[in-house]
Amino acid sequence: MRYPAFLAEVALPANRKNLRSSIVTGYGTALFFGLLFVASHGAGLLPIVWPLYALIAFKLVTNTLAYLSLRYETLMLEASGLNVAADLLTMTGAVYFTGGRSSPLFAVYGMEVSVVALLTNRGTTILVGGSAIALYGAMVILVHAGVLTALPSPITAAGVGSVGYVVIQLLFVAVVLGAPTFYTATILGVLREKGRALEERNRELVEAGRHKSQFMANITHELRTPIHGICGLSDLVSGGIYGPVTEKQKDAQQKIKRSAQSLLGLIAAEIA
Amino acid sequence: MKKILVVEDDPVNASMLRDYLEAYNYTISVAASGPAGIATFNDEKPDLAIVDVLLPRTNGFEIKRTEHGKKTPIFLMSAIYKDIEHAEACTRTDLQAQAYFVKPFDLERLLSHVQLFIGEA
Repeated sequence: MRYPAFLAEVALPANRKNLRSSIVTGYGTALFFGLLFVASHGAGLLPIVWPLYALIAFKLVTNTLAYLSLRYETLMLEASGLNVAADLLTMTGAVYFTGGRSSPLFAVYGMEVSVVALLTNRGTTILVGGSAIALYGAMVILVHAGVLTALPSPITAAGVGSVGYVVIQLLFVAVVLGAPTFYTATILGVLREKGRALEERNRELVEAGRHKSQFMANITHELRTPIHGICGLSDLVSGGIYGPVTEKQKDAQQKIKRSAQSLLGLIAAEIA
Repeated sequence: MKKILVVEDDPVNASMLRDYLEAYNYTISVAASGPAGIATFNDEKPDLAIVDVLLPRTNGFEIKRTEHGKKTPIFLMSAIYKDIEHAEACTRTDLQAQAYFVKPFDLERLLSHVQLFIGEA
């Protein structure tokens, strides 16, 4: 099967380090949300929690598959794609089970898109962002159409004033806003670093160009000096300064001078 | 006899200028470097100096700073290709050299300048 270039690029050896990072990030995020769900359930905010645990287990499975694919270097693109799809599905599932449109978890999509942007490329980021929009939209439409049951949000379940809710919500916001901040800041850092490297390279090229010009000027000088000798001496010969000259010798002198001048023309054309 | 000092590090060019100007009865001394040129210039007090500006060690421009140099016509010559405008500006202002020749130059043009500044030998 042929993948679009932007996807194929993701599995290239140069991007392995990023794929490995995505697996670490995947385990970290799954663990964080697992603990968040345990805490929320413990605080009485989440009446229905088993589907959420199941979603996290699903994510852990796909994450492990992605890890194995990298370790054995087979089906890396497929396993990583499945892992990202699992992210979006578990996120949408978690949003659904925590209240659908009124879920406080909506911001998790931002984490996904920013980490994909950091680790992959423009095309993949747009694809993942578009998929997130489509999945969330599908969920909203299915709930609206009554195909999926509308579930209560933790906000309505426990009341906004609950201390437990506020603590968990603050922790959640810190991570869910903190992660995209970290990822985007890292992206900007990488871009800045690349820009600096390019500037440095540019400076080196300008410097090399200057050296080349200086070298050429020196070469020109070196070449014009002997040509001056050839032209001058042949003028001296034909001018009779070294004794009487025959017409044939004068003719030969003209040719010497013409050749020297055409050599000069070549130098000017090559170097100017 | 009018004396001309040629300061030129290229031996072929130096002997060519010597032969040419001697054919017009000038007395020629040749120096192959800047320091030698300045020494000869001060010893022999020539009527005119023709100096290559890219000499080894000392630049040809130095000669103009000596006591005798201030009242002697100086011609500069060089094979520097690009910077003719700059060199010409120098001959007119700072250095007060009287002419600038870019190699390869026409010997008759040099001779006409020589005759213009110090007359026939």
